[in-house]
Amino acid sequence: MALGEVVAQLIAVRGAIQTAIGLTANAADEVTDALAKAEDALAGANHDLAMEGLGLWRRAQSGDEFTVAKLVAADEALAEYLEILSPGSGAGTKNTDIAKPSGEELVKARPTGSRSQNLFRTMVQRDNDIDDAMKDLGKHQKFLEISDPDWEPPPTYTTNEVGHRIPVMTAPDAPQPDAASIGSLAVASGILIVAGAKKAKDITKTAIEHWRSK
Amino acid sequence: MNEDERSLLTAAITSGVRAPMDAIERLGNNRTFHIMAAAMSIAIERGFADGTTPAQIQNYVEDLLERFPKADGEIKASALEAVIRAGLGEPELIEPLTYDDLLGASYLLTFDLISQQELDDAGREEYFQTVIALADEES
Repeated sequence: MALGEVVAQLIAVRGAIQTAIGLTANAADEVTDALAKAEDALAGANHDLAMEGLGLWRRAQSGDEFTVAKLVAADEALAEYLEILSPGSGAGTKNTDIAKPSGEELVKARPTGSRSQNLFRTMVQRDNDIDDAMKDLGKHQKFLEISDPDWEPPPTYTTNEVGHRIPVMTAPDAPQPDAASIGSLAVASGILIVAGAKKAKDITKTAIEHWRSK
Repeated sequence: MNEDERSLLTAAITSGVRAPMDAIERLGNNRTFHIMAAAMSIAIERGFADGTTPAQIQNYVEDLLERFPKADGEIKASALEAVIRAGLGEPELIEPLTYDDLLGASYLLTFDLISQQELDDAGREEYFQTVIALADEES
């Protein structure tokens, strides 16, 4: 998408916002429509700056309600982005005619539901793809286990036949460490505390390679 | 409500029940998330009265994480506070949260708030039906 088209979309959103400021519920609906159209149009544009500008507007939006203060803030944010995208064109001129609201004057965007309906809708009407974000089904297991008071994490150590405490190996054919290697791991673990994460990772890797090579 | 949905909700509000991974797999992440989002939304509505202050919510979350130490580090206190406050009229607070944040909060808050209600069989069934009706709005 050409820069001019991106700017045009953002200007359209700005126009709708300015219409909505201090006006009616229908005007606020127009903002929502303009925003949806702009987002659709910009989705394939890979124009991070424009999308960030819309993100600012999204953050300024408050669920089923638009406060005038938030509309003004969103308009100013978009104006600043337009000035960067198209300097000197006038698209980014701030509207000084807009009266700054003195309080929380509310403009209803659409009928509100119950509190639970509003929260639910806000949670599920996000742009992200849930399947993509939640690829790991194990996350469900992890979170549900948190509320199980009897759940214990799987053991990381066990005791061998001669009474030595050894790490539990997850790979079925993984070699079991001997006493010297366990000593190396123990020393490494002690060093971890003082050596910092990156260094500790290297030390642990070295210790594991040491006993695996035996 | 099918058996997988019932299984998920039962696990979510019952202590000591393992996650029904087979049921979750059949439901898919999308439906599972919708059901848990609905379960938490209703739990928050029932658990927090209008006018609950941010300070009261902060105290509740601190207490919650003390009672569920396994959640510490897995679920952010800020995410818990954000979803509760979102349920009380500040929906914009949810925007920066990830699905991990929301899902973790949904399991913990649903379990805690609904188990506090000590629902009998009829009450639990009514809760399940209400949750599924809400989840069906977007499915």
